[in-house]
This record gives sequence, structure tokens and C-alpha cells, in this order.
Amino acid sequence: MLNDWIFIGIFLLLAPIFPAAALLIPRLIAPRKPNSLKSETYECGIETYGETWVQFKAQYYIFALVFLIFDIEIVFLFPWAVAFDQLPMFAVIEGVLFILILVAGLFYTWRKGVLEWV
Amino acid sequence: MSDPVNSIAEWLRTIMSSWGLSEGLITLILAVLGVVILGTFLLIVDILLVWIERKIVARFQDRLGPNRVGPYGIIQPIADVIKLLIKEEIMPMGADKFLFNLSPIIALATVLLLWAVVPFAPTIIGADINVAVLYVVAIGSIGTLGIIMAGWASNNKYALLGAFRTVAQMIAYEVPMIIALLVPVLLARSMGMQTIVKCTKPLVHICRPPGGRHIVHLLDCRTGSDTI
Repeated sequence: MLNDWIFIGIFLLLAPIFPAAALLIPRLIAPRKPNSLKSETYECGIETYGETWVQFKAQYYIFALVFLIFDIEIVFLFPWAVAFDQLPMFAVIEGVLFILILVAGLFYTWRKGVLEWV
Repeated sequence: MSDPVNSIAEWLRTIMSSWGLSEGLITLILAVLGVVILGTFLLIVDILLVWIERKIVARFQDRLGPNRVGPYGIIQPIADVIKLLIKEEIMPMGADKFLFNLSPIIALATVLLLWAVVPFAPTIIGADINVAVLYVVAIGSIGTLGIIMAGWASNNKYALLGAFRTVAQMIAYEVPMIIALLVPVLLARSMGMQTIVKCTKPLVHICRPPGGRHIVHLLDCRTGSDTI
């Protein structure tokens, strides 16, 4: 089991090297002659207007917050699913109640219009 | 220990212990070797899979697909790789250089990392950890970060908009995917990939919601450039 985690640790360290190599090899063999016209920001053929790094209204900001909450709560269900047949009836009903609370939350956000794509 | 990969690993282990290396160092060297071989294998298999995908998608669209380079165009992806390697890299003016280069690295590295827990055969697996499904969920969501990074770093309003749309799509499918992943965990009472695959009986689990083998298919299913 420890060996497996060593493998994953080394994979974490080495995995970025594969795409990094794909970026570094062109540095060595590809031509590189940038000029001001070539490296201009390409948007839709017209010259760029104004700043790009502006504050941007992410329409699904609350949707993303709801997603975060659901994501984390669902991860909590995994230990419950693994120990499912060793749990007493009480814990199983608790799990179902947990899911029902989530469903109620989903209907609440739906009612509030969060799921609408503006 | 009858499969080729593990017997080669055992053989290397005996050779290295005859050199007088310590047990821990041998494990480390074998792990590095395994990672390099697995990563290279995936990238090479990927070249072939790109060809298969292009052929099949072409048939869907009533085209022939690549058919000039080599028999049935099978050398085409290799030619593409060489072409991409000798192409000039254009960095847009005012781009965030660090993030611009980091985002493709993150996006590809997470995909490679997912394969650390994918079982190839009963004894051939990168790391048979007992929380493999959680690992897949955790690593899989880092890829979204690479996309938003790329959109932000390229100093381009349309790139930023596209990144927002892609992120919306990716976080929209993530919660249903995790709920679908609960089913095989519930059926196998385990989060380890080998345990899930072992408890999957052919023809029984097909009728059920996503079984062990389907996890591998889910991993494989990508939100490619043509869906965005």
C-alpha cells in the first residue's frame, strides 16, 4: 500500500515533465521570429479595444457556489457507500435523509432562479 | 506474478539487490521507471487513438478521414506531432507568460495522472490504492483550473469568455458524474479499482447503472474540442 502511494507521489512529480517537454522541444527546433504584428492580441480581426483583464460578470457565480457545496457533500457519501452493508439501519436512514436535504436544497435554489442561465 | 510486467520488475529487483542497493532505493527506482514507462505508453497509445478517432468521426460526417500518409493514413498523427513540434510558438502581446505556459502543462498532467489508478489487467496497475475513485474525482477536477488559467493568461476577451463557458460545462457534468460513480462503489463496497473490476460480473452489471468497467469508460470520455 505504501509502495502505491510512492508511485503516485512520483507520478505527481514527473507528470508535468511530459507536457513541459512538448513545450520545450519547439523552443529548440522551431523558428521564433516574433514581430509586433504577429504577436498582437487576436480577437476577431478588429484591433483590440480597451483592457482585457477587466472585472467580468460570471453569470453562473451562485451556480458555481451551489456546485461547490454539492460537490463536497457528495464526496461525504463515498465513505457511507463503502461501509454500506456494515452500517446499522439508523445510519442508512440518516444517509437517505442527508440526500433528501440536498434535494430540498436543490429545489430551493431552483425556485430562487439560480439554475436559470441569464 | 506470472504477467510480463511484474516478472520484469521482479527480475530488475533481483539484479539491483545483487548490486547491493537498499530495499527502499530499489522501490524508488522501480517506481520512477514505472511512471516513465506508463506515461510514455499512454502518449504513444494516444497517437494511435487520435487516428482512430479521426477516422470514425470522418465516417460520421461522410468523409474518408486521413488516408494519404501511410496505409489508411495511420502515420498521419505522427506526421502531425512532428509538424506541431517544429511550429513557431506565438505568445500574444501582454499575455501572462508564466500562466500561459503553465496551463497546458496542468491540463495534460492531470489527464496523465488519472491513469495511475486505471487497471490494465488483474495484476497490472499503476497504484492499487483503496481510495482510487476519490483520487479520480480529485485529480479530474484540477483540469478545469488549467482551462480557466489558459483563458485568463492569453490576454484575450474571447478566450476568457470561452474559458468561462467551458468551465460552466465541466462543472455542470461533474456532480452527475460523481453520483454515477457512487453506484459501483456501493455495489463493490470499495473504492479500489481492482476490487470494483473484480466484483463486476459480465452481463449482470450491464443492466445495472454504471458498473466497474464503466468507470474506465467515464475516464476515457473527454470533453474534446469538438463538444465545446
